[in-house]
Amino acid sequence: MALRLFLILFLSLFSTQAFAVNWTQNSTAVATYTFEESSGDLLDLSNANDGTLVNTVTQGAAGQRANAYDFGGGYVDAGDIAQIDGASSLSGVVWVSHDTTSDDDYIFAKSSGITDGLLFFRDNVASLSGRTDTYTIFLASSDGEGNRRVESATNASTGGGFIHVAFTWEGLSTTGLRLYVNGVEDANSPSTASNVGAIDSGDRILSIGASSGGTNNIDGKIDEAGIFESVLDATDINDIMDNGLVQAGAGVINLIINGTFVADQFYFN
Amino acid sequence: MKYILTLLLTIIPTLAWGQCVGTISSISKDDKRGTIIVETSYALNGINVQSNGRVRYSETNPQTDLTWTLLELKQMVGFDIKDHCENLIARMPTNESFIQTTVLERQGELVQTLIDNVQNQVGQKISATEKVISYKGKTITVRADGTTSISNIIP
Repeated sequence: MALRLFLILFLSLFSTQAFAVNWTQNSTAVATYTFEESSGDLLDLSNANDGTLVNTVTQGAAGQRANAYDFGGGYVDAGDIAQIDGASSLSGVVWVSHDTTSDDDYIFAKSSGITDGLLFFRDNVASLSGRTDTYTIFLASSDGEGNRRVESATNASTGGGFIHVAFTWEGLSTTGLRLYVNGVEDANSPSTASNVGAIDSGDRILSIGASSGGTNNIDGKIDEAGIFESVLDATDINDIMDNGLVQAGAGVINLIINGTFVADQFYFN
Repeated sequence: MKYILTLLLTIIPTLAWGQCVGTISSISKDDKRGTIIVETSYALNGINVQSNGRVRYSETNPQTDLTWTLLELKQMVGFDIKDHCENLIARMPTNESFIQTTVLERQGELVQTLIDNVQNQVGQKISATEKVISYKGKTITVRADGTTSISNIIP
């Protein structure tokens, strides 16, 4: 009897595993760039937000994961991505290295000057705290919502190698703005975003490696950059850092079993 | 025996259903970065969905900038695991759709209330006859009737 019971239990457990397995693309990925190209445009693996190269950008440089782009006075114009302006939450992840550490290096920007939008950059001297060699995520709004920022700890953005940096923004949250360096939330994070409900940067482009106006160019490399219309948590960010963004156009994907979501994966190696 | 079997078959799927469970699988030192690595695995509704969850922590508490106490670190790890479980639940397609629909409906209710309350303004006329612009010490006035004037701004 014991054997029969075991057999029934065993078979019943296995019968529940007869699932239809599907992977579907996660709609929260706004743009996913792996910088593997050696010519042509920067390709977005999750949507159609490809970027065009402006001025001096060298493709095929040695990156944190395979290839990277080496920026020497140029930047990438990813166009006006309306999804960013309309988002109520956002996250950005990227590997970056700095050849020089004597000025600001813009990583992501979708901003009309300092009045509206977001800036994510190596901050040579942080304007509020005075800390040096920091990373800053800065959200600006000209319509009374106020400006919000997190300035990282001193010496977060030193030269010499790749550093993984990430930000997350949850609109209207008192702990809505967070900054991570090498997978660890910075000591100066989180900051309030209670007055920022939208990025609202109008028709300005998303630029990678410079401001939306093409200034404050980075002197260094950028690899594995992703922007998501959601708030990634610490586990998500560490997964991306350790395992890389999506490979070969797979996009950020959900695992669906028998029509039921069971997992999301940020990589598919 | 049939009752026991039925009970077992009922209990086994019930135990894992309706929840996300995160389990700490290891705690170690990241020699490359000098941080604490907490590795986790996650099961959603009894199905293992992630075996390589990983969060790094510095030796200090981000809020106090002091070295973690054991209790603080335990609480932070627990918070992060719960946070990730909650995100996994929220990202289930049915839940994600429900959240979006509910938020949109609520937004619609609030907007509709405002619209209802300003309906009596329809038909109201508001007029202006001129636009005044200040520019580098001068006040420039342009009018609807086509006339213009310039005056000095008195400091």
